[in-house]
Amino acid sequence: MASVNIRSVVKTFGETHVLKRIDLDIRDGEFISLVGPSGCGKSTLLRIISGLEQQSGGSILLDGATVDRIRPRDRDLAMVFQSYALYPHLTVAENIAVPLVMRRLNTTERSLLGTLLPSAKAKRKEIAGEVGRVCDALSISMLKDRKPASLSGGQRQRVALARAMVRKPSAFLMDEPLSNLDAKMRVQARGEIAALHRQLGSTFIYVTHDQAEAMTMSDRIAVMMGGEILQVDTPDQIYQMPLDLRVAEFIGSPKINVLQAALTEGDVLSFTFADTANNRVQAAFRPEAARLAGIANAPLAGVIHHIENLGADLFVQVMTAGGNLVVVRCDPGGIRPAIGDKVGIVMDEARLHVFGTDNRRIEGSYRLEAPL
Amino acid sequence: MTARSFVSSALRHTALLLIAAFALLPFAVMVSTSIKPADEIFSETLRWWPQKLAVIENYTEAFSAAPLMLYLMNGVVVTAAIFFLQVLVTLPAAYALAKLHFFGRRLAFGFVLFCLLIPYQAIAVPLFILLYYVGLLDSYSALVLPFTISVFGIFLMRQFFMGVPDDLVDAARMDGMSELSIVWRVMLPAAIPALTAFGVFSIVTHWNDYFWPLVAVSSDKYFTPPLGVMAFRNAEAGNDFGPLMAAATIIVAPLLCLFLLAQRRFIEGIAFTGIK
Repeated sequence: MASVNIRSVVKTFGETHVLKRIDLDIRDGEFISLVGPSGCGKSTLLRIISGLEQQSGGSILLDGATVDRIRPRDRDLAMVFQSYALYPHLTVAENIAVPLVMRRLNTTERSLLGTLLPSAKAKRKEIAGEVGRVCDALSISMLKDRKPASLSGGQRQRVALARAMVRKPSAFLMDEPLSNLDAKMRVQARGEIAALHRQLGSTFIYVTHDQAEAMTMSDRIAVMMGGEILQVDTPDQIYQMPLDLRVAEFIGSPKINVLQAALTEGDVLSFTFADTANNRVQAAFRPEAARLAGIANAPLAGVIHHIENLGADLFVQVMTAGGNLVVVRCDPGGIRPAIGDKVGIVMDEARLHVFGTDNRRIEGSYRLEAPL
Repeated sequence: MTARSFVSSALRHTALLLIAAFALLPFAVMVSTSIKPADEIFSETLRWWPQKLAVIENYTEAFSAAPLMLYLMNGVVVTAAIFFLQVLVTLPAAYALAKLHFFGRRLAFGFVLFCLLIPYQAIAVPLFILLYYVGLLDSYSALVLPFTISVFGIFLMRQFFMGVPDDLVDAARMDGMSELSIVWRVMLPAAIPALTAFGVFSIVTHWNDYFWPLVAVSSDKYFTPPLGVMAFRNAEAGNDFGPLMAAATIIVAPLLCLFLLAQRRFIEGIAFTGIK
């Protein structure tokens, strides 16, 4: 068990600033996701926590003690890699045993002759027992004698997890461990990893570019972009109260609708504003915070451009008069709209987000301008 | 198979067979000569199979006229020692050049490429003088030491290691391996095909090497097989080609066996280098 504190960590590669002063406090036993588009620095941050990469400035604290000068092997962390990184020449059982063998057996005991030593034999037996228990826990016991090349992607992923678990580390670092699985396996593995976290109670730091993985598994999510953390919060808060337009756009599928607007009379949002209008803002609302309505009385109107039928949901894309594509979620049980229909769009005022031109959230409650 | 593709395939095979026959001809002459009695070797009619077989005479003569077994043993000891030491130097060097980030890495690799261009005959004299001052001339060390650092091996293995995923190295570091453990426990097993290819190159080169042993040793107890054959030829008056060719055949045979054994992995190693 360990808390992880990241204190003003900076990383530069020559002139490029990959991480710009990252501060993050991860609580003991927490499942936190670092999520962001590729190149946002999330993997670099994870590698700095693991010690595989050295930061250019700032420090990492594990359980309150700085580990900046400590090698990866002595940080008591385990990592699961995107490519699983299993040793191709070792069997599954041998792969899982490696972290224990390297830590418990000394150089002589590990050597070819050393295997004959009674102390080495006793230790290897003990290790085999622990490997067996981990294999049972992940139900991969029947794969023990196979080589990684003969395993499927899902099986390799479990073996990689087992190799991380066997040492009982104080925290797990995971670098996109599900991105090499097919969509179906990924959903299953998502549930398994979340269950594993509940069962072990260790700290999990999980890097992903898939917002769905972050939303479904995490206690908290840190959204990163351009080497900065934009927001750290629970999945609910991130989804419902994004502090930055880029967070709002990254989290949620389909993407949040963003429209240029102007504030008039302090709190009235107008989508039909003159080019010279002051108080320009960006108004955003999620597809489920809007509904289709008659053109009369609707603040927005347009023509249905495309309909995505996902079975449980109907996502209707409306091309507005201003040339924006707005997505509205409809109930498939209701009246089915048709492509080419002229419709109005009504939003739930309580679920409107307003962001300034600097992308920061502007707090407040807003009214929509009365329709023309 | 259509008639046309059959014809073109037959033509291709004929061409390949002709080239192969041409390449194998000296070899066939060597084997054929090694089983002929002396009078038949210089007879006017060329025949592949002698009228009177002289296998036993020639081959016993080859083994008794010169200490051929000793030369063969020397060959084995020298080539094995060279290859062992080459691996010991090559793998860590190639790992460092492929996977570690240190100041001057590009320059170091540049030096490796540069050294590939130097023919070893060019540095034979300085090497000879060096070994003279160290007092190691005319010994096994003189035969082995100059070849312990193989820049070709470093280059070949570095290209192979470039294809080993970085994640695997990082995983080994997380698992608690030191950099040297990574070389021997992770990179070496991954590199077996490339290492086999390098081994065949190295062993063939040093088994067949005539130039350096000729320079470095003078007492015949250190003679390697190619030197042995020549000493054999001078030992007896005149050119006794039957036993000479028998000795040559004996010396080539181990290499042939080795290549046949390693053939599959050898080709794998060449094909995989630098790809993945």
